[in-house]
Amino acid sequence: MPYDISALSIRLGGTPILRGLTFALPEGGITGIIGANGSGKTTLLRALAGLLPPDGGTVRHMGQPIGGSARDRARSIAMLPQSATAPPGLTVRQLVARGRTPWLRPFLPMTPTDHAAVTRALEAVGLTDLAERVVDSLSGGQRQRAWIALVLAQESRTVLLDEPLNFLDVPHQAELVALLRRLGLTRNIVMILHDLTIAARICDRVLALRGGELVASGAPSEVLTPEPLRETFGIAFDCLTLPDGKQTILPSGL
Amino acid sequence: MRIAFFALTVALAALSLAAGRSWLLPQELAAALLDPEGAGRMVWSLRVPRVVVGLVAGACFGLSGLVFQTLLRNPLASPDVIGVTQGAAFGAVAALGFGVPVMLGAWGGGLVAIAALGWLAAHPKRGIEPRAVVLQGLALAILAGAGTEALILRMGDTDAGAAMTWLGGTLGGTAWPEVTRALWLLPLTLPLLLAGRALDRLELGDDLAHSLGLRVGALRVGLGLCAALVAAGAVSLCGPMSFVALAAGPIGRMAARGRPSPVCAMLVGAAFVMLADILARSVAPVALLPTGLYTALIGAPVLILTVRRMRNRNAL
Repeated sequence: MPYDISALSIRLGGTPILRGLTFALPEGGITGIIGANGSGKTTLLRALAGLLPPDGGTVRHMGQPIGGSARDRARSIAMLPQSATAPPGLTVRQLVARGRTPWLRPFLPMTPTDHAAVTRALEAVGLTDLAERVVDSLSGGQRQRAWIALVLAQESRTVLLDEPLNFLDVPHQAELVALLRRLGLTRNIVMILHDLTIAARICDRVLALRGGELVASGAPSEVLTPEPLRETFGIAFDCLTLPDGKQTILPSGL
Repeated sequence: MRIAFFALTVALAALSLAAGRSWLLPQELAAALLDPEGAGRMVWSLRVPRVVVGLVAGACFGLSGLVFQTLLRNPLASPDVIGVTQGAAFGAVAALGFGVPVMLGAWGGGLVAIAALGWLAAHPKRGIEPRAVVLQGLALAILAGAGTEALILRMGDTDAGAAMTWLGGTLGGTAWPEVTRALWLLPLTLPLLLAGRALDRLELGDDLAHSLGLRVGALRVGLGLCAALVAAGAVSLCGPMSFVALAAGPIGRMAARGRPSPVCAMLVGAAFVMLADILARSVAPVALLPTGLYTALIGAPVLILTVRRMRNRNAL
């Protein structure tokens, strides 16, 4: 069981952000976190990464409380924050190699195993040809794939992504969604999503947050329906099922 | 590049040994170094200590500059901008008044400054905000500077004159006791020298660094305290030498292809002080202008260029 969360509460600067969340995530697949701005999505993701110690309740990853050795934790959980910025002048390969940090021996350079992991990660995101380019010179979609490659090179079982599809144009979004779907076959992915239609199509489970509370959780076919969505966002949604069975979700007001 | 900077530092140190009111030819310098009791008495009693202390102080300023600039993610956040140097200077001047060893006073002042800054700048939700740190540090620097001035105004004329020269940063009057103190500082630089990889990962942002297995909070506190002690120790050796820490960070980075390299920053800082001290003793040897004047003369243009680069990168 990748995650077993019970009665998780977190305060930041005295303000309660998460209020008594309880849920468990089964092995494998993609879990989407949805909710309005300020509903606690990023805080939940950071708590799952072990960045924020709980003020109440427990967060267990693979049966263990998160904590102990930071290095061991980093080998099993990787998180890509939304705010990640590449230092100027770094090439794609150098950036991706940073993902090997928890596997490096102190003060020693990368081993052939590390180089192989970086090469695999670059292949997985399709950036092999651009590996020697400077990150700043890439397009938004390529840059986002470089960051995902960094997280992949970390070779953790669990991968947490904070709005990985933001700022990407539609073709790049589609490309990244296909990539994430492939990754979901071998890793546990938890990610924050804004686009509910995309969530419906790639997530195996959805957690819906409102005001720091879990208002709904389960398969997209249960959570991404008008009633739970109204409860999550406070507005009405049109949930259409296309002839081939795929979902399309839009606010009713549009 | 690293080797080039090492060679430059060694060359400047040798030049500095030869420089002064009476310049020594290479063979004269070699003879003097080989004969500490006879022909080399002047070189060994005055110039060797001056060069050793200058190298150590410059290296310490450079190292601490790079560490603070990287930890606070702001190329302006060197110890002489965020108040650590000024706090150390206040502590050192106060220590003189109370008869406490200067280095202890400087360490005390530097630690109080960095602790105050850490307390002021830490935000429970957003962590450390680079812009806020620099502004708050600047305020601390001004406060500590005013305190130092108040202490000096209460001194006698002779002491006050000496204190003012010292506040400009000077290697004048350096002798062997200062060398001993300088060597005491070296162990403190070790953790910073070994922190190259951690500094590099911290540049990716706190959350990502954490995700990569770094203990971000502990590193920030540990490296910050260590860098404050190193900078304050350097202040106790030669006064608050302006601009060395500020300029050594960016130049050291350029030397290391943009990566935060502690070794490069140390070499750049040491070379910088050597160059300034050679100028101090040879450009106007009679006036004996303090070394700090020349570090400012060289450092100010570097600061201007750094700000230009930051603006071009939209980082300001």
